[in-house]
Amino acid sequence: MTQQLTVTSSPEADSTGAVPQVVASLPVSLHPSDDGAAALVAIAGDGGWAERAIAAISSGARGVMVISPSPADVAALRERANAQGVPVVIDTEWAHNPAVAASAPHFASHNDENSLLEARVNAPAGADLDQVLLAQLALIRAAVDPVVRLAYARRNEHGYDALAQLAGGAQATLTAILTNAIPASATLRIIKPRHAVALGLPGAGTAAPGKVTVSGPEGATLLPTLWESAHRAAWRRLHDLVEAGQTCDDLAAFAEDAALVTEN
Amino acid sequence: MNPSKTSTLGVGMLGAGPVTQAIHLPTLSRLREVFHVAKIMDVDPQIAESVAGRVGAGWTTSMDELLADEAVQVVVICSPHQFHAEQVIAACRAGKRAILCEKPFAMSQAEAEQIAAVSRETGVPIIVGAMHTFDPGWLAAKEHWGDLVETAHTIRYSIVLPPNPRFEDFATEVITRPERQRQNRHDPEVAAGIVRGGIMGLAIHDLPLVRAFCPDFTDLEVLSCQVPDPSGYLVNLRIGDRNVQIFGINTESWEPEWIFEAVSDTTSLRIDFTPSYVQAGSATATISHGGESEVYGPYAYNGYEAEWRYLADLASGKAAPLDVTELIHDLTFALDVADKASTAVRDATALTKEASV
Repeated sequence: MTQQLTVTSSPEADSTGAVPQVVASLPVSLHPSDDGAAALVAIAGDGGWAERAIAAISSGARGVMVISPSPADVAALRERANAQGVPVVIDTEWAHNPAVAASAPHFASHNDENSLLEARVNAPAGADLDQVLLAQLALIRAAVDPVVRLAYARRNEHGYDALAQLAGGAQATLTAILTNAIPASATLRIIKPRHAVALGLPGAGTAAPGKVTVSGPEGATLLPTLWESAHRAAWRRLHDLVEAGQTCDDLAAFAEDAALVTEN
Repeated sequence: MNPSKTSTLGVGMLGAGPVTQAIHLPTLSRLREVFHVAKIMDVDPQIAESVAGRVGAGWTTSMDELLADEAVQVVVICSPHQFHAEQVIAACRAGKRAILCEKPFAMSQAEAEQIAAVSRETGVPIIVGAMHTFDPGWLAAKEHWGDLVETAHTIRYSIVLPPNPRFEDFATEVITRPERQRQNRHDPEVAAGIVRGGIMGLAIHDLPLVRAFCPDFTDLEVLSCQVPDPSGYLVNLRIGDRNVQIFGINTESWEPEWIFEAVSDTTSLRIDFTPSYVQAGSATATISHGGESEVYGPYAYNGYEAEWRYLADLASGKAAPLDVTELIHDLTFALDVADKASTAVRDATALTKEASV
């Protein structure tokens, strides 16, 4: 039987991570709590978030959700989380959308050193480009492969275009376009001579489905759509990790991605 | 059934390859009340005769003979690129009523200026076969995009191109076509050649559209350039203060894509074009402003048919000729992109090759 876990969150986390709406949509698994000793703690990713996460673990949190974290030194937090066996899940804009996991095996079968991954994000005008890039790197890691090298072709107030290399040797082009004309969205695509895989994602706050299209000589297949927001999927994952007594490696992955962001 | 050849404009075609066979002849078959094909020239007599025979036209292997034929009032130039300038000039001097030259209409700015001078001197109007600039979807977008030319900060132009025969074979029955060969994109000179060929042969279709959104088009910097597998181009450019990316990839797939986008803080234009060759209607343009979108198209005919309709109006004096200076700007812009991008990819590929040795 599913174990119900209490959740506490700050107003900032509520606002950026839609925590109350997610908790309301998982009434058997999660329950809101104002108690400082809630099992799960949601932390907004603005300055000082790593310290706040350590404090939450010290206060007895069994799982921590960090929403859209800014680059930070997470060494001490990783050490504390591992020592206590507490999973710390990083909830970024795209990576937890269920379509991402569905796309991963298809991207994997077309990810080689001759491949070119096209990655694009449409984000609101004025968005913090470091945050946009961090979320895009997390998406690429979850769907395809980690980015191991990155150089900007351009970066300015309207977005960026960067050239990158993935761990498996594929090349990638990463784009962000800042505009209020169209809703926030992200796409990934690999086109091979006869095959292609494309992933299109809406923002984390909507349950509109991501779409995975796999095409080849036989035609194109749209994978079954899953109408769950990325935020909700992230919380289900945290709940499952806690219930199973497992940790996760989100912080290690975040540290690698954050290093790419701060180096460039 | 056949409109009289005396009441329609006689077309002379220089070059009878796949573009003539799969694009212009099928398009002209939709405009029989306006045009008839009078004569077709090709250096290969068998091709000239065979293609002309399809439409009941005369044939020749001589450009001079075609231009001297009084039954030819409008000339379309579909020969290899290097002959375009010479043939456009000869057609102007022959006193034809209008000329359609497939892109690019010259291979250098000097040639383009020579053409412009002859066009002005002879009064013969010229259009370049940049079909998307005539596409009803593009024209509808132009009418409704408001201040986007002034406010756009990002331009994207992306083509995923299956093999041409995939479409040519639905438009006609082609009797000759060039072979495609796989090339080693890791060789710097080959990479430079692929990019130059890709820009001047493929990207050039919509570079006039890109230029329309880049008022400072002479202030152009290539920020990066690479060749995707198996061939194509991915070029990041700064044009004035605009973020521009052009991408084209040749695939063996069935799935085409041809998209042009211009984006500002508040407005986004996306145009999805139909594939070349097939008569599949116009592009569809979507203009979005926050929560609202307007969609224009698809309309019943494509840019090829629109350009021929315009040519008919030009030949009969009903339409004002295009400003040849704009055509020169389009060409010099394309040449600038091709030169700088091919240099950039040559250098980048050489560096990668050195690093791997």
